[in-house]
Amino acid sequence: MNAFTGNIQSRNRVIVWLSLLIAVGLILFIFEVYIPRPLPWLKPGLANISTLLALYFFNFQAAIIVVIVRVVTGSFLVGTFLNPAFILAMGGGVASTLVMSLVKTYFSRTFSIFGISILGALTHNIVQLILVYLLIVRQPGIFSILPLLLISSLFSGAVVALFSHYLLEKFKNSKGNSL
Amino acid sequence: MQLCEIITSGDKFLIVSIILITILMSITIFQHRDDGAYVVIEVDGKAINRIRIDKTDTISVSGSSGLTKVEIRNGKARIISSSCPSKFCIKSGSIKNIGQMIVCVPNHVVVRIEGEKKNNFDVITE
Repeated sequence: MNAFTGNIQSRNRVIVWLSLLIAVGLILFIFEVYIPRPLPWLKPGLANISTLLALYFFNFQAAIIVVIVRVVTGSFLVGTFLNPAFILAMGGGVASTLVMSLVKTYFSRTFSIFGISILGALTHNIVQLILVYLLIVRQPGIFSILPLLLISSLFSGAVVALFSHYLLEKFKNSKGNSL
Repeated sequence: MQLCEIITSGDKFLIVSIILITILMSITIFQHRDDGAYVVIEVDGKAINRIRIDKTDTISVSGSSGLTKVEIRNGKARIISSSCPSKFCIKSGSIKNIGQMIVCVPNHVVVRIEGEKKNNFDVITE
């Protein structure tokens, strides 16, 4: 199913949904900037909820639009547009969306939304670490942070999946509100 | 729908393997932890300063967006002030073991610890 063809009414509905998801992602992204974290580089990645919902409601195309628009507008809001931080966010976001949609398309029998979300968080963190290595640090020593990243992706992926799962269930159960 | 119903065996396998890999990697990394001998301060990937870690000293380096002050005391190194907006490098705290590093992304400053031999830290990622 392609969400971007079809009659004008359903296209408008898709546009409204994507805008809402981008807005929710942005709010979560800004929220995360301000909550205290145990270690500076560990973020729960709650904005990934909007990506995951776009992927489950629509398709890969919708999810990648949500990610790219969110990262660009988010960087405008916190003032990191085209910074190293922006490149890291964009690289991690696009890579994790790619992996999540590939897994959802080809291995949806093996992995539930939990596995898909954890794999997405894992990809996000590993790609960011590789980008930090390539662009900024160039010291193999930074890969010693990998175990911390792995275990934190496990938790953040599970939390994101939990929220997304309940939201999806909510939308499925609400009457007459099918997408 | 209950959570235990939707979690597949693939998910469980993934979770268990991540935990196992994390434990294995942590063990290998911590086995190779040794106290360092030198503090190396780099800007844009170029080593600016190389100081013995047992000295007491405060060094200012100019990164791409301003000054970063590094303090070396009691065999530990930390960043005490920085011009970057986020101050993550200051919050990172002190480092003392070979291969540990503090990275200030906005200022392009890296502070890392080396051993007596120059490439000692490469062992960590093996």
